[in-house]
Amino acid sequence: MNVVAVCGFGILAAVLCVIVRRINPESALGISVCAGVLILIAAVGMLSPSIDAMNELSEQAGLDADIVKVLFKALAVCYITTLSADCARDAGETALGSKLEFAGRAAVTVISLPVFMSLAQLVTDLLQ
Amino acid sequence: MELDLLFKIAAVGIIAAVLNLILKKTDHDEQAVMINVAGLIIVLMMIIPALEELFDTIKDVFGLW
Repeated sequence: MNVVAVCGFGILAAVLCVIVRRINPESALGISVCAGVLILIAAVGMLSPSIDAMNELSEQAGLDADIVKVLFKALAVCYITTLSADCARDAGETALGSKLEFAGRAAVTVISLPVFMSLAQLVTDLLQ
Repeated sequence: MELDLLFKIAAVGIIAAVLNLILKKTDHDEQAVMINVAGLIIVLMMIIPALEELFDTIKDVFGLW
């Protein structure tokens, strides 16, 4: 999915939103949410080769696999939370958007907890 | 990149608005409200498969859970 198609799709969705917003404001929100979701699907699709390349690189570099897995999990959580927070802000619910972002940050900290543990373990071993 | 999904949602929105106006002019105001709600529900039902596809793609690419 090349970038040109995605950009054209985005412009078309924006124009469609403007047209429909005057006629029926709720479905304009529906169009923007749906266009956002479709563009994100294309973006994540574009990302998969680079994810595989990073996996191979981390194996060659000798990094153990679960740290890279935590990295990708955090990235995925950020993707989903930004999508939902921006959709909430689009609908005019800024408070809801910031709460969604807070939930996303909490999820990322929970996911990255084991990495902190291994770091602390490493430091205590060094100090002894 | 389903372009026609966007056009379908726009069409549902416009048709709901037109029906709303028609019902208002023939003083069936409560049915006008019903049409609005129905239009919204149809739009949401169209968005859900796209969301499901998004979460499946994210799960495949990032191996989330």
